[in-house]
Amino acid sequence: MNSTILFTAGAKGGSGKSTAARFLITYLRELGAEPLLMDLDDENRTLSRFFPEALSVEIKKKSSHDVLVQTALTGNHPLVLADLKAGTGRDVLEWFLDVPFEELRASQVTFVCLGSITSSPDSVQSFLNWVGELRDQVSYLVFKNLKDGETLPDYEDTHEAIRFRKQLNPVHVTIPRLDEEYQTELERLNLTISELIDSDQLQENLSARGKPLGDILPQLLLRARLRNFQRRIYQQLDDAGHLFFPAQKQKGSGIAHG
Amino acid sequence: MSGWPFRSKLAPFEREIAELRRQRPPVSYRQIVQRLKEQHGIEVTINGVFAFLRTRRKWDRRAAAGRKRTAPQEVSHRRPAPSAVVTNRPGDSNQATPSRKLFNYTYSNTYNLTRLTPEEKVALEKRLDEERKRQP
Repeated sequence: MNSTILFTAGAKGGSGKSTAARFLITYLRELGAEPLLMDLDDENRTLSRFFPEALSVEIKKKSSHDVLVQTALTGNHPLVLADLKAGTGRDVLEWFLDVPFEELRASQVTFVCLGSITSSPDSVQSFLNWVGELRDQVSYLVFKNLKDGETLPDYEDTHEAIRFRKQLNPVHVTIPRLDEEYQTELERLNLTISELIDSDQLQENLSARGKPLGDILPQLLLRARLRNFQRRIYQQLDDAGHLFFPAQKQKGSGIAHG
Repeated sequence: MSGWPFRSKLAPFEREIAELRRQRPPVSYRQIVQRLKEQHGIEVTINGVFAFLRTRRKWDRRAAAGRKRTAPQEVSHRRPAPSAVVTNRPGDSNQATPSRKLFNYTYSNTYNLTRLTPEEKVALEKRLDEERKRQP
């Protein structure tokens, strides 16, 4: 059975790794996939806040990450999504360097690295540090998060980033800037956009998963705006389908594993 | 020894005390106090020795930062100016004198992204496209 491990990468905090993971999870669920969620961010537990069903993995030592591969090898979960913490940097990266990618590929286990880039040069640099080590062993899905600015000069115009884009063919998804008020409210209430707009309990002021919606979010126009916002992201994720479901090769880019 | 200007009675033994503390394991302050009393007849508290060495270390740090080791009455208690810890970048025309350098910072190609001009960017993209076409 095929298994794909999706993991967030990059040591820079606040670059939108967990936000990207959230969109990806709700997108995959909308497609009927049920990714196994693993929260390896033992400092913030952001993923668990939004998805309480996520497994919280205690990171005591480097080998704690073995659980990722062990879970994938059982074959019970076609998709495993792991949210790694910011600042894990070298330790986790070194764990990845021990992973026998070739062997796992033979066992139908593949890896997709989820990067999140903002206008901060550090976010680009820390992600490219990972790329420099992982090279073509994994596929890449890069979220361009415009929360801090519309332009990403360190991703668009630098030698290192251009080489990465040309040689490793990442799939790109742009996350437009969301109004701060909505963003803060969603964060405060631990809500995904999907939970809000799919709610059939608006009369009771509850999200699709029974969480309270507060005062601002149930407004009709706001929900319409958020629905459009999410649709724009989902449309882009459609082009990355071949990364999540390797059996179903689609048009688009991505690394063809030999 | 003390008087005006004040000078510590430990000053003549500075080198000796420093040597004792430099040993590994260092001679304890308590033992230094005993030794000073036995060998030189000087009565001093443990805290007195500690404060004496701490002051000398401060003077030495200032001396390393390019200032002359000053006599006690000339010692300024102000914190060192921020410029003393500013890193020196290669190519800076207004470099501090070598004695003022606390550490050097070297630009690293690994950790600094190289921004390209639009022309350089187009050229690189073209070159990478060609390389890719050549690959089987």
